[in-house]
Amino acid sequence: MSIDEGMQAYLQETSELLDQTEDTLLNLENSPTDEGLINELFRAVHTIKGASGLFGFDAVVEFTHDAESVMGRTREGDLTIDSDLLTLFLKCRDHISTLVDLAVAGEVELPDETQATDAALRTQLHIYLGTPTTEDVEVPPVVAHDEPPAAIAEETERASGIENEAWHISLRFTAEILRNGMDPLSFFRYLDTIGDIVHLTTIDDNIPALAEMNPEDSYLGFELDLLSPATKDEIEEVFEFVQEDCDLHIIPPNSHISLYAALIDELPDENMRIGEILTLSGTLTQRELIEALTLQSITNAENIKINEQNAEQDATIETIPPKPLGEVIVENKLASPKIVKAALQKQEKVKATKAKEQAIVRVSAEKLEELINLVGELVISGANTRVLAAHTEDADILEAVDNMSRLVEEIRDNALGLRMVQIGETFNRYRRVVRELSKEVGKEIELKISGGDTELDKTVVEKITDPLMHLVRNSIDHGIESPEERVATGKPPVATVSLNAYTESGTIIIEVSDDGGGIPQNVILAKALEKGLVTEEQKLTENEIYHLIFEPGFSTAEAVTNISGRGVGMDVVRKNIDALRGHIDIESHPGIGTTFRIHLPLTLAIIDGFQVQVGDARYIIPLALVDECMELDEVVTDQADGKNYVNLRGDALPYIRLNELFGVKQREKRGEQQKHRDNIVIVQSGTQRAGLVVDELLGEFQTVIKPLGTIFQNLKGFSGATILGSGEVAMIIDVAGLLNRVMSQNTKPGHDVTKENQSQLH
Amino acid sequence: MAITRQDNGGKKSKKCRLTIDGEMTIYMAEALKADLDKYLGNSWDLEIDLSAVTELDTAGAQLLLLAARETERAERQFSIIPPTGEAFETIKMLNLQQRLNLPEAAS
Repeated sequence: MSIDEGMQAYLQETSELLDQTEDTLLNLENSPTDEGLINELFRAVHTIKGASGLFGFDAVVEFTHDAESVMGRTREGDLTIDSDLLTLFLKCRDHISTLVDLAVAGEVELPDETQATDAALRTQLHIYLGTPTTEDVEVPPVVAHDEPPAAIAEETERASGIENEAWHISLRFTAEILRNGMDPLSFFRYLDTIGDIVHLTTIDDNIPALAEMNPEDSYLGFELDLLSPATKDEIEEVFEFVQEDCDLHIIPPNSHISLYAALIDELPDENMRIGEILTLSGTLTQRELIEALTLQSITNAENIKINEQNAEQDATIETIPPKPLGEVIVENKLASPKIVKAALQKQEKVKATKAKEQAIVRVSAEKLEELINLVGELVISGANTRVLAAHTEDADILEAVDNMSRLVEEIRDNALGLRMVQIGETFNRYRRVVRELSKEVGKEIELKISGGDTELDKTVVEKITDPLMHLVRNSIDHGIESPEERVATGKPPVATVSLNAYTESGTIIIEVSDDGGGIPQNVILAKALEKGLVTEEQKLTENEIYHLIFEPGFSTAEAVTNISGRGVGMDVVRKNIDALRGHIDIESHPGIGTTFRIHLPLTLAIIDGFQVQVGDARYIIPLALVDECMELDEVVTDQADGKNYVNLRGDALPYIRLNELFGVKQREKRGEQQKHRDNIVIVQSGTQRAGLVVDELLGEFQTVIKPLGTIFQNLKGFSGATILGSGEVAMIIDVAGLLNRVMSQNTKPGHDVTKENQSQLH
Repeated sequence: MAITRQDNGGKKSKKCRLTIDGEMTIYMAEALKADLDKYLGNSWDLEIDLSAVTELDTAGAQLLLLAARETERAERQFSIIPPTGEAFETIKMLNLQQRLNLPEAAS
């Protein structure tokens, strides 16, 4: 890995961790005492610190260290998380992000502004660090193990645990460990980095006699004491690789003596030998050891007694085996069964995420782009082969080509699938926005996220982020009423903004909705008149009025706030969505709320197309939008009032003749005198349905979308072009754009019949 | 790796000196054990010179412990000329200085 790649990986990892940190912090707002979240937070920041240290980014390391220390205190329960602390942590998160960017950019000297933030935040952090609480005393400071235990005589003290401040770890490896390529030394070296091994005893008692000893088997056992702030999970994780190969016992600092008793009992070695090691290493005092051994013999004696009784009563009852450690813990009321169970579940969960992480391979976006381009070329050349093969009329070749086409199709789908990402991550970003904006404007708002697992092309996701941000801001600022107004109209004071995503007939739909006051039509109309966007004579439909808000420079907010109201934004929203070949719907009900519905194509690169012939040219209609095809004379045509309607199973369906629209001559059937029969392709986009009349249906075609050049950018009705197998260029029909055009032509005022028909279609 | 034997002569202080060099790891364990077999249990004092050992792992340390135990079982002296560098770190990490009769100064 080159330095650059390393840096890239670092940047990516930290930005993911920072995103995660933000999520965690926002989740903590709702459940400030969730230990899992607090640990997650601590770990993420800790990892950032570690990674930054690797690259020598001192500024990042120093700052994260302070932040981490405060987070560490929350983890130990010395600090409770409240809104102020969360705000501080969020600011710290942003600052770390800035520092990371600066470090990666190679800026050694921090800009003044950053320096000031750094100092200010650190002062605040130090306030949290500098106020010792009563519990602080109990936090195990790094104390040498040989310090004479002071209050040894205290009965109460003893009941709560032994004096030792260190973790006691007991390891017995299986014989195969060395042959499996693991060396216990590597674990010790690692443990030494997360703490301080104060004592280690190598137990060699089990090395057999010279003749029987296999030099490649392991016979050693280890007892060690570790002073470390690490959690039990973290220590256990160290040994995760050798779980199968070792018998591991970990006893937390200041544990109850019975745990040691259990340990002594569990280990295969001679009891007195282990006891000796424990006292020699300073883990237990002599007196504690005696106590432990007594405790242990009592338990054993009880078992023996029970066994004897059982034997007397019923010879068939199984003898009670020595108790496993977990049971001992529970029996001695060291932990309730519930806690033990919870801990086990948590471990499972950690393992599951670990496994998931390992299943992911990082690939650079560039490589992916290249692959998708190549697949595009493959699709085109596949189409070419198909055309040539069709000329040969050789059944074998045709079959082979069919097979290949199927594979190419699969490759295409898979390749495109690689670029798909879940939108949930993007949605989560808005939680912070909502939290901060709602505070700023003094409204209580809850963000509801659903459909986060909907997948979308990564390039689309990147381009949709800004428009979504504008819509969310707009909802908060314009949509949601103040708490007083809400209460006055009988709504709950806490408002809801929802983000939702789902797939529908080949398009992705993203909804931003609020339960606010709805869009006031009259206000918008008045404003539009004032701005000269519309004239009084114009009769606008509801939808057209709503869409006025996307006009440049249009804002109805009386006060221009930081958030929105400056009239920039909504027009940008529409522009960005247009650029993605998508469109936006607005549904608004006064007093109930507003929903913005963004329709986006699944992908930007390759689609399944439906090829049709109009005149001498071929056109592609996105297959996902095609409902059905039929011959035009099968359906009753009603052109009574000059409008183009067909009667489709009782429904009136508007249609357009593409040859008229594009101004091309209808193609004459060569050599055939029979009456030309048109075909109609019925397409659906969102709620709109219409028929497109074409000369001929040519079937499915894998379409690699080539964007139109800048000259054709304003061309209505086409969304791109593609290259056919024959090398010809075919235009891709922009169905949504076309339908809008048809609808607006057909719904001009004065045609009541039209309106009726249209409502039927909806 | 090589084990060389040095016989100081004299009946009273029969001392065998083994010099091990290079890697003393799991890869060499089989061969080292075969050599140790020859020299252990022959009622001589045993001194193992590890000063030329470059690498020592748990398998190697285990063999040293075996040699120490076998020699002491025969009521003879066991001593070591300690290795340097990383190999010595292993001994320190496993806390074997005392067990292998290393001079205090070395630890």
